[in-house]
Amino acid sequence: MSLFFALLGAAIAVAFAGIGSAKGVGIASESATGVVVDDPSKFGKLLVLQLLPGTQGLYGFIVAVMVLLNTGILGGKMPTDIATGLLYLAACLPIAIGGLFSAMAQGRVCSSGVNIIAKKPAESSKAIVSASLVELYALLAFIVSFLMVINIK
Amino acid sequence: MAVLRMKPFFLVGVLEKRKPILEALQKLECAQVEESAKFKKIDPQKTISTIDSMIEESDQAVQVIEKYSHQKGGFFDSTQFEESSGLNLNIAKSDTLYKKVRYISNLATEIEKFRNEISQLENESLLLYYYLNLDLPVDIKDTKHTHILVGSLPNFWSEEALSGKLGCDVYFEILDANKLQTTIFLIIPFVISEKIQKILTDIGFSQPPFASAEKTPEDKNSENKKKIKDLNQKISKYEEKIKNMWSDCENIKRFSDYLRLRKEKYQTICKLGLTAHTFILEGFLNPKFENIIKNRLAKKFGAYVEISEPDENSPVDFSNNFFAAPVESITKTYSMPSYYDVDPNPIMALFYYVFFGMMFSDAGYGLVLAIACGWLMFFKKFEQSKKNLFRMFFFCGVSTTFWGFMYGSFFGNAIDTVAAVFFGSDFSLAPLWINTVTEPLTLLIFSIVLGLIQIIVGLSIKFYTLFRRRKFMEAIATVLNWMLILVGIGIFSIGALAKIDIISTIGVFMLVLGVLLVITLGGYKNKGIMRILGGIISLYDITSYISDALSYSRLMALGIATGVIANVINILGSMAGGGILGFFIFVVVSILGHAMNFGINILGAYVHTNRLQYVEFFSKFYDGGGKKFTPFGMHTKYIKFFNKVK
Repeated sequence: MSLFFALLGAAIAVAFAGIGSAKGVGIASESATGVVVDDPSKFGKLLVLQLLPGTQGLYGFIVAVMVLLNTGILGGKMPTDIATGLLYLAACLPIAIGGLFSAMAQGRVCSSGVNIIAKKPAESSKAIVSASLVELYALLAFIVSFLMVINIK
Repeated sequence: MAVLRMKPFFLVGVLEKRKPILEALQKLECAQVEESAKFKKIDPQKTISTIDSMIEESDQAVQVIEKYSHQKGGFFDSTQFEESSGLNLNIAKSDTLYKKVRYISNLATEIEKFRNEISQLENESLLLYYYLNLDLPVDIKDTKHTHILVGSLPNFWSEEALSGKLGCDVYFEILDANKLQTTIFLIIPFVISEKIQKILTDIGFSQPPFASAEKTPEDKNSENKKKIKDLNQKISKYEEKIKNMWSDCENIKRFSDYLRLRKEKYQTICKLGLTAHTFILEGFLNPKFENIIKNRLAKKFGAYVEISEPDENSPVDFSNNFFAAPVESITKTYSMPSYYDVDPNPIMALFYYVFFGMMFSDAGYGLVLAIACGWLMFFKKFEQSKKNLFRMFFFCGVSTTFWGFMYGSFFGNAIDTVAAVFFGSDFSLAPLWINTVTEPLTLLIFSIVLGLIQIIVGLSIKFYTLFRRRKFMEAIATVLNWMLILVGIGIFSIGALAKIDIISTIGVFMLVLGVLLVITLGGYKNKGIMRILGGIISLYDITSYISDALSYSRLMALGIATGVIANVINILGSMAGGGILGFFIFVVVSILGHAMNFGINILGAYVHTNRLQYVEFFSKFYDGGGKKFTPFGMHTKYIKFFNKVK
C-alpha cells in the first residue's frame, strides 16, 4: 500500500506536468507553424519558443524518477508504512500542479511571442525572456518537490 | 573595453570627387550617414528599385543553381573573404553576368512550366483510368437513329439496378464500377432519348471532364504517357544546363554582392545635401578613424571635414577584447547603452560563462561543446558575428566542463555505469566538490550567494555611474543603502557560520545602517513627514531583492536536471545487462538519449543565463535605449569584403 501511494505520486508528477507541457508545446507549435508556412527559414528561432513549455514535463519526469529510485523500483529500499508512501505523494504535488498550469501559461506566452519572431526577428530574445518569466514558477515547484523527495527518510 | 561613442561630423567636397570619397568611406565602414536636413537632395529611387530587382533575380539564379547542383552552403561552412579592392567589376563583365542570370531564370521558368504540364497530364490520366475499357473515343458522334453517351454516375451501380432504372430499350455497358462512381457507355434510340436523358440527370449522370479527340481512352492514355516522358526528358536536359552553370555561380554571387554595394551607395547618395558645385555629408564617425578621415581622406580629395565631440544622440557600439566580445550580441539584443551607461560586457561575460556552465553542468557535454566550437573557431574562417557566437559557446563549453567535474558528472554517471555493468568494478568518478543529488541544499545556498554577488556588482556599477554624474543623493538613497543591507547580510552569515562574533557584529552594523539609510533617505524626493513615510514604504523594495536572489535557484535546478536525466539515460541503456548485445544496446541508447538531453539542456542553459542577465542583472544598473551604430559600409550576402588599408 505504501508503495502504491509513492507510485501514485510519481505517476501524477509525470502525467500532470506532462499534460501541461504537451498542451503548452502544442499551443506554441500551432502558432509557430503558421509562421513557418510563410517563412521556413525562421524555423530555428521558433523551435526555441516551441520547446520552452516542454521543460515542465521534464521536471515532472525527474521527480518521478527520483521517487522510483528511492522506493525500490529502480534500486533503493522499499518503504513499508503507509505514512512514507503518503509523504512521497505529497512531495510530488508541487511539480504536478505547478508544472501543469505553468506549462499551459507559458505555452500562451510563447504563442504570442511567435508574433515577435514573425514581425521582428531581431527582437526574438525578448520573446524568450518573457517566456522564461513564467518558467521561474515551474522551477520553484520543481525545487520544492525535489527537496522533499530526497529528504524523505 | 568600452562603449564607443561616435562623433558627429560633416564633410564638404566638390561634386566631381563625390564618387571616390563615397567609395573610400564605404570601404572603411567607419561612418553612419544621416539625412541632410538643410540642403536639397536628389532622389535616385528609380535606380535603387532597378538594382533591387536585379539583386532579386541574381539571388534566385544562385538559389536555382544551388538547388539543381545540390551544393547548398550550410551554417557551419566557412565564410568567403575577399580584399575590398577586388570588388570593382567592369561594366562589360557585369553585362555578360546579367545575361547569364536572365538565361538561368528563363530555364527555371521553363522547368516550372513543364512541371505544370506534367501534373495536368497526370490528372487527366487518373480520370481516363475509369474509361480504359471503352474501345471507342469518348466524344463519339451519334448515329442515324441513336444517341451515344459516355459518362459517369455517382456511387456504385450494378447492371441490374441500372437496367431497372433505364428500361430495356437502352443498350448500356458498365465500364468500371467502384464505391464512388460508375462509368458507363450508353446507346439510346432517339425516340426515347429525352425521357432517358431526364432519368440520367436525376441520378446524377455527368459527361467526362475531358475530350479524347477521337482517340480511344487507351490510346489517349499511352499518348499522355509519352508526352510526360518527353517533358521529363526536357526537364532533365534543362536541369543539366543549369548544373553546367555551376562554374558561374561564384561570379553571379559576386555580381549580386556588387549590386548590393551599389545599392548601399545610392541609398547614401539620397541622404547627401547638394549645392551647385559641392555636396555635404553629415553623420557620425567612428573615433578610431578620426585621423584617417581628417588627414588622409580630406587631403587626398580636397574635402573639408569638421568633427565634434559625441553627445547624447550619438550612436554607439561596443569594443571589447577576446573574452568579452562574444557576449556583446547578448547585450545588444537587450538594448544598446545610453549616453550614461558603462559597458556591461566585460563583467557580464564572466557571470555569463559561469552561470551557463553551472546550468549545463556536465563535463562530457561541455567537452563536446568546447571541442566543436573550438574547432570551428580555430580551423574555419567566419564573419565576425558567427565567430563571436562560436567563441561564446567555446567559453561556455569550457565552463561547463569545469562544473561537470565539480559535480562529478561526465555524461551523467556513464563512467560508473560502464565500470559496474561491463567490467564489474565499483570504480566511480567522484565529484571534485559536491554530489548534487545528495547535497542539493549546499548547491542551493551557493547559487543564491552567487546571485547576491551579481546583484551587488550590479548595484556597484549603478553607484559608480550615478557618482560619475554627480548625483550623490540618488546614489546614496537608492543604491548605497541597499548595498549596505545586502553586504551586511552576507557578512553576518559568514560570521555566524564561522562563529566569529566580531564579523557578524560588523554585518549587523552594516545591515542596521543600511536600513536606517533606507528609512531616512528612501523618500528623499518628498518633504516633511512624507519623507519618512516614503522611506518606510521603500523598505518594501526588500521583496524585489529577495525574489531576485531566489531567482538564482535556477542555477541549482537546471544543474541537477542535466545530471539526473543523463543518469536515467545510462540506467535505461544498461538495462540489457553486460555482454556484446548489452554493450551494443547501451551505445545506441546512450547516443540517442544524450543527444536529446544535450539539446534540451543547452537550450535551457542558454535561455536562463540570458534571463538572469536581462532581468536580474541589467535591471540594477543598465538604462539602455542607445542607438546602434550602423555604418555606411559593405553589407553583402555571399562574400565578406574586408579592408586592408587601416
